Amino acid sequence: MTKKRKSLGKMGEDLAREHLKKSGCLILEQNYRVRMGEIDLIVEDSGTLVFVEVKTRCDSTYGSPFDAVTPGKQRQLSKVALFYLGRHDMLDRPARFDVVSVQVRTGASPKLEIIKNAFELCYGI
Amino acid sequence: MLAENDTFSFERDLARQGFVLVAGVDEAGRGPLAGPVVAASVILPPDCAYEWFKDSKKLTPKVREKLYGELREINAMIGVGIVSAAKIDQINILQASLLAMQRATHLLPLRPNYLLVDGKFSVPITIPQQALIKGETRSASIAAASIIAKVTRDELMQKLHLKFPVYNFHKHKGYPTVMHRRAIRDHGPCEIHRKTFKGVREYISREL
Repeated sequence: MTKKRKSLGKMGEDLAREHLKKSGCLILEQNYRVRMGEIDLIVEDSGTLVFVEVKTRCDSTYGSPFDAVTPGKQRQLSKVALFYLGRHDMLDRPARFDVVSVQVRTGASPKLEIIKNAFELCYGI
Repeated sequence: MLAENDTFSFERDLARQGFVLVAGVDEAGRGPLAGPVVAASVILPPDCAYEWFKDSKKLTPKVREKLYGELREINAMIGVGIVSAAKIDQINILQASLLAMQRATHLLPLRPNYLLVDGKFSVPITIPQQALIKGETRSASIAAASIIAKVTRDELMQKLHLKFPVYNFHKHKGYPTVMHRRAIRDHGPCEIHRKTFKGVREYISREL
């Protein structure tokens, strides 16, 4: 990953975090990283744990950011989420996966879109 | 040939590597439209007649119950985790199954050093583990866990039948049989039905 892409991603995550914070979510983790993978943001939204994948695009990129969360990626995020839930003894808590799309536009403020419950917890080795 | 049929080889190999307390983990009741999901975690004594413990689905209810009694008699270590239908609706069945497995393992009298888990599950717990597809046929410990889980769940469903007699839970144990579907259609779901499951959610009145 080039430095520019990495910083774009980081900017998107920060924007998403601030947006979620403003809308009343409690931020638990940013860049939660373990052996099996990484989750951009883990927040609590009125009692529900939300695992957030942030997709940042600049207006030159093609395709919907939501398409970028492939089944393989969903499985990986599920694994990390389950690890987190197990580690923090929170398996009995309702949880969901949201995808936040951040579109960075030249000469305009970034556009944020949230898909709640973007996919279900899934499983596979 | 011998190795194929030896359902204690995983356990023995692990013991040789220093994992003395190996627990088999399995769950029952992911598919039913009603009732809890039940998981069991079992540590067999190393000198037991492990070849008795076979895939619970291939045993008759009578034999299953006998083996259930046998497991208690030989002092197998047993942990049972139960997650209610209401909780299943609140979290989802996959998370609930893993929660039941985690609870079952926590409830063992001793903390195991290694888990053999049926299916492709990995229990969210910090104990080294291995998932075995068709684990019930490959490991006696998993088979023992499947027997405990199944018998415990069946007994629970029998008790729940007394509380909600119109559904005949003692017969189908909550599984989606014709009889059960008909009862849901005629009487609507009761408090132990899984309201988020297809086959139940269609019958929930809007006011609820």
